[in-house]
Amino acid sequence: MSRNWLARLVACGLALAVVALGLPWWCGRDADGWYDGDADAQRALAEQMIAFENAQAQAPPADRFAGEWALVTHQMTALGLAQLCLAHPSWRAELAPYVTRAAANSFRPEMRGFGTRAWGEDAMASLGSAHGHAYLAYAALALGMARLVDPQFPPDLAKQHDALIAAYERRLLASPTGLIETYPGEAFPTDVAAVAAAIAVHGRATGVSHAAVLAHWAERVRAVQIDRASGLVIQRMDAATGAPHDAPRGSGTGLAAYFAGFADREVARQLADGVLAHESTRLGFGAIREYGDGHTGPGDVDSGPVVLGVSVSATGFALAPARAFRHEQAFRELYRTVDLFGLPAGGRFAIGGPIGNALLLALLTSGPELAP
Amino acid sequence: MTRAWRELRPFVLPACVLAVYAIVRVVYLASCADDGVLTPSGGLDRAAALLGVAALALRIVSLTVVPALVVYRLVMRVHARRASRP
Repeated sequence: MSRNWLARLVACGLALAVVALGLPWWCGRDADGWYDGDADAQRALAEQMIAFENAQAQAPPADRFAGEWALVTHQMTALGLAQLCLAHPSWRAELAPYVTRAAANSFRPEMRGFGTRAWGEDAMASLGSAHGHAYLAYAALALGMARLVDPQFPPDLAKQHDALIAAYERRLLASPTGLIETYPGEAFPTDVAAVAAAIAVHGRATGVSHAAVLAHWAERVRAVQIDRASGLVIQRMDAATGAPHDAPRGSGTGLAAYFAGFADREVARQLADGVLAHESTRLGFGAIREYGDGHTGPGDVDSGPVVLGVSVSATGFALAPARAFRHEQAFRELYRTVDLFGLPAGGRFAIGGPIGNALLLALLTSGPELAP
Repeated sequence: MTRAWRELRPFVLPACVLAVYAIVRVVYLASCADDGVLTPSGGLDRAAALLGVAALALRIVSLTVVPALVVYRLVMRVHARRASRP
């Protein structure tokens, strides 16, 4: 081999080594800070979402998925800010009013218009019915966290919250599968985890015991909703029979693990183990495979794009259980991926916009909300 | 051709990529980052999405291809100098 070719080989090797070492280092610079609860990083992202909530009201959402996104943006803002109130009690007086504002925004009738259209009835006008309306648990959970941290929580909103939680408790106890419908004929275990979380947080905020319904839900999750082979929850099921309508998937399991943490630590830990077992790692970057072994499928509104088998949503959602249950290595690997593709700048992640930043505020600060 | 230009020429392309990335990033952050590529109203602004995707692609190139190219050319430059010595 000539000296020239040897030099090229050495140059290529060094170039690859620099990228292999430098890229994970660069994208992981803030990972430890988020994992350890760096107050400056948390504060900067919180300020972004407070500015969003302070901004002029958004236009009413146009269709089901736009509505879901709007609701989730306000809900996750409320959850993230509430988690910061729990993590930093000295911030509570300042942040609690914004928690309530974001939670109240998520509960506005136009935010649930997508569900009203799907059912042909408003969830709050049909609390006596057996229809699940599980999508509204996202707002109910946000309201519960607001009641937990904000002593000035509006009494009229508290009454509506009490009535909604009572309806969810009755519907969930009556369900042999531990599932209630989100839309007619469609039940999502992830949404029902949000229902359980909302019920649990209501109990913490008001002192009312919901132990029976939460025990029923936890037992049914283990018996019916988790796929034994993969450890992932089935994405969509029949509420009455528990028949699967979709595959076990990472996106649903990641978010369900986060929600379950509000209600039952052991269920959440089991779901966290399931979703983190589906982590794929390359060059120190982690991502969660969307489908359990033996299942394949395309990306959809739940998963976002699925590229090489891994999904955007599952990867982001898994940050919460990774942090809450102290999977430090997995958190660092997942964070590097979020940093690489999230375009961090000025305390926010520029690619995701409000919904991405709201989600990351809640997911990157997960932990203080865990059930006792 | 001056000696300085000869020395710098291998690094002009990586520098141009970084400069374009810096410009696209600043423009994206200034004009579109409040909404991101996804918006809570569900709308997808094509111009914003294109700019966002361009910023992302340039970020990845800047963090992978650019440092690799710089290291490769630095090593080859050192090798060429050593080889040209009498």
